[in-house]
Amino acid sequence: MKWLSAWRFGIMVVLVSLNFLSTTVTAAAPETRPSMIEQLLSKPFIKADFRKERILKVLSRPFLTEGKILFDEDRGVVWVTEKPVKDVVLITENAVRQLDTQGKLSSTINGSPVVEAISKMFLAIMSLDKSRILSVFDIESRDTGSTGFGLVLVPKEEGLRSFISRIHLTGNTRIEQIDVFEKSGDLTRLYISNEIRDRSQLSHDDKALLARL
Amino acid sequence: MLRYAWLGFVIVCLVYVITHFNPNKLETNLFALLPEKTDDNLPSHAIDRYSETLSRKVVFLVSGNDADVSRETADKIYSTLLESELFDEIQFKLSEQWAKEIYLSYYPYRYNLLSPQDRAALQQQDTDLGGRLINAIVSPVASLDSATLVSDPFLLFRDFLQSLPRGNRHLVIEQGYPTIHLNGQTYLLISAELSGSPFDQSVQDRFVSQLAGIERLFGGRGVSIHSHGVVNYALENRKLAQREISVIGGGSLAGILLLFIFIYKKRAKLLIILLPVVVGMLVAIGVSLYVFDNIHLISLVFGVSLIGVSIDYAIHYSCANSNLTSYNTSHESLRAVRPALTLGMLSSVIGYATLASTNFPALMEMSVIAICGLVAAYLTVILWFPMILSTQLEVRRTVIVKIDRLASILNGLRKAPLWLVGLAVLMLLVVNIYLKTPEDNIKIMRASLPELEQTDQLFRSLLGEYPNNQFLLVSASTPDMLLDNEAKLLASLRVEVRTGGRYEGLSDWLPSERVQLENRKLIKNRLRDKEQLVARLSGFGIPGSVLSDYLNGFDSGSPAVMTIDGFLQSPAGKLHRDAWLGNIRGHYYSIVKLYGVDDLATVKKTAGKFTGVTYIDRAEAVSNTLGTYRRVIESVFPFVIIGIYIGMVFRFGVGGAVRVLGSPLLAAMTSFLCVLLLIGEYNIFTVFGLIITIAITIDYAIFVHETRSDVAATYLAILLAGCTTILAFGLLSLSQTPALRTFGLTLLLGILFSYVFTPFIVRSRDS
Repeated sequence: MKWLSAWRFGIMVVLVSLNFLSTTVTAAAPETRPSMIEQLLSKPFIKADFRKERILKVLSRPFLTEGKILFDEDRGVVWVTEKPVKDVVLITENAVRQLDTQGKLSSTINGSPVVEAISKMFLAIMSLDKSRILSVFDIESRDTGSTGFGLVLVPKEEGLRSFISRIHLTGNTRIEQIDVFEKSGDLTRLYISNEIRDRSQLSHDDKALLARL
Repeated sequence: MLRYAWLGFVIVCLVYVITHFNPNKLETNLFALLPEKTDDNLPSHAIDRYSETLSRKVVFLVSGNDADVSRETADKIYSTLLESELFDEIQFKLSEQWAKEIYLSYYPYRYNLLSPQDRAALQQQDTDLGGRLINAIVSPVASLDSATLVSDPFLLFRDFLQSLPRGNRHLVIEQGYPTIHLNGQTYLLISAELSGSPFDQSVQDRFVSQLAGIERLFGGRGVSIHSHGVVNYALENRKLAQREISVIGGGSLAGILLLFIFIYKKRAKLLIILLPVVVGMLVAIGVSLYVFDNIHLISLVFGVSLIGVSIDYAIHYSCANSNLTSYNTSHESLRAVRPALTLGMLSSVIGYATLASTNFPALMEMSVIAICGLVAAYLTVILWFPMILSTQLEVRRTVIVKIDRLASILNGLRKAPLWLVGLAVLMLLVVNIYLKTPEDNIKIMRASLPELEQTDQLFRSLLGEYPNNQFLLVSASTPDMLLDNEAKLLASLRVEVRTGGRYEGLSDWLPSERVQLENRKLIKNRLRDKEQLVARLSGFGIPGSVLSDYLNGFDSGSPAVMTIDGFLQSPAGKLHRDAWLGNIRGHYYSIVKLYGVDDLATVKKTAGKFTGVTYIDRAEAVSNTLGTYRRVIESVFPFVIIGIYIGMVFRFGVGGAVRVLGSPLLAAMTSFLCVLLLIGEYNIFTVFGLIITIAITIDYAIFVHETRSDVAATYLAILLAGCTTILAFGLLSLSQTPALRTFGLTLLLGILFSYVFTPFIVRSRDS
């Protein structure tokens, strides 16, 4: 039913949002955990490269995709997959739209209250506003040893929790890796790199894609 | 002998009423008052069944500033409602389990179920199923997990589930709660279905008690609780009718008693004067119960107003049997007034009988109540009063002086010439015909209930739309054809009607078996080259074994289709089963519901293009019926007048009959003009008010005409009778039900005008 499926795909939108929890924090002496959370959740990027491993139980090896992510704080996210296939998804508060290889709109999902709710939540995470994130997740912190520091997000809402058991955000001075652990046993691993925070560094194509939000 | 026969009949009525009359079982359903549909092509059983189901629905609204407090309160209210056993079904929080059950109910048929977009794409053969799968894994929002990859790799089933109607767009599901946010308030909805009819008074009583309990336990603390449903309206209408019965009945009786106390000495006998009223009501209720099995509350309100009319016979007798006349015995007094009483009673009966000539249940009931009440009151006076009220009544001296003076003035007035009377009636008739603006609307039968209308408005603002009163009835000879017809109708409506609103039909949730089998074939055709597909997907690291279950599903035995019976048993089906009317007289029926649709003309036009689709607007149909009956009565009315006139001629002669009939006619025409000027429109109840005006006020004219030496007694009786009638119908004109209000006002004005005109028109027999 719209209920279950919408929740399922809506969850994925949430997962995307967590990709953008990246900050640049200068190395410092060991700090208290609350301040590490503040540090990691401080600066969203405008563009970053990603490598995503979709680890499905039924597949013998992870499904790998690579691409870039573009983020506009006021409007939404553009998710551009470049390998193994070209795919562009535009995610805003009210809709999720897919573009075909020619850049034309091929499908739209909108008007769904669940999509809207999930998109809003997703963009709240994108904004790295701690209070807004806390309205959806409980945040715990964990040490990952020499590799840095991590945050564990546990969904508060029953619907979300039925699909996602937890999300790990790992990084040293910024979020570098996001692992989404699903109740089904599947896992998504996302590696973030080459973040850009200055809009003037965006290419013309990137700006054009953001303008489509 | 007749006296005792009448006593026996009254006793039988008394026993019958005691054993059969239950004030808690009075009919309160408005539609029970209205004529049955005469269109033989219209399956009224189907419509009635749907209306009955709808009428049982109740929605509770729990609202507050704090969403958590509102949810907590709503949870408690839900539990209370469950424990009450007042409801068959209650829908509230949507659990993950419930969502899973819906998913699982469709799952076995997933090979047959496609969204409209996927179906169109597959029909055009431009769907790349392999590409869909790859994009689903690649996309961040596609939700393709291991289970889905095995069971629904191309996300066709997912797309079907997402294409299912979402209902009202203002409604969101938060933490499983159906919620609307508006102006800083959080509203939670609980939907329930009563286990009994909302018109059953015991159900109403239990409902109001339940509501009071909920308000007491959970109201306040920043939380408001509202309920909305037909049961609220039925309950309020019932309370209103009971209040009006008390006011009109109590007011009329009190008025009568006060008048008599003022006029007569020796008050001990005055209570006997009320006997014809009591007997009249008893016989009216008894006979109505016997004929109709039950009485409608509105008919009872009307019946109570007849107290002011049925007392007339007792008034005329008591005035004749008083110190105002020179009759020696009570029998002599009766003999003096009996002809006039009888004529007056017969003319009233003829007037009310015209109501019974229609096939209008409300009017037939009112007619039976009126006729039985008046005849019973008449017989009580004629047969019993000379015996039980034999001693002469004494009118107070002061009253005698005043009434003597009044009687001599009125009796001595110069009477208008016949030609003037005729001309006045004709002129008024022409003016009224010119000015008349009929308004035949079912709303005249509905009382104004401001508080409920406010709740209505709240729901409208919350939902942003409102269920239309209109709907479409779809029929076919088989369930499958029905679903097909309905699907085509819905597709057409969504294209043709462009001004907003939405439609819901069962075919949105369940494709016909024909479409299901076609869908299956479409998918199978696209998977014809499965080896190529598997090879392509292997290149992306997706082994063919992953898809084997799904691909083999097409080859496994005979395909299962989801039938309408299977769907109606499913969680989604249970939500919408009121739209399935099933097999009625060899045809299957379903309902297409409309929400917030304004362009009904286009809906009607679109529906007209499809065979087996009927546009239903019950309110419009009833309003049209009211109009039809009004026109029929208006066309019959002149012949009734002619009939009465011919009857009068035998008693009063040609000229006398013109005067006796002219006065009430003039009063009625003037009353009608006033109603048109005051209200601006008229309806069938105005017309009946005019008929009854003539039927009642003709009594006054008859008595004035029949007056001989007992002029004072006659005018006192007419005055008293008029006062009591004005009181009763004056109170009726204050009713909150427009139909009764119009009826009461027309009568009130007619009687007042007849008082003015009669002395100027009618001559006594001696003069």
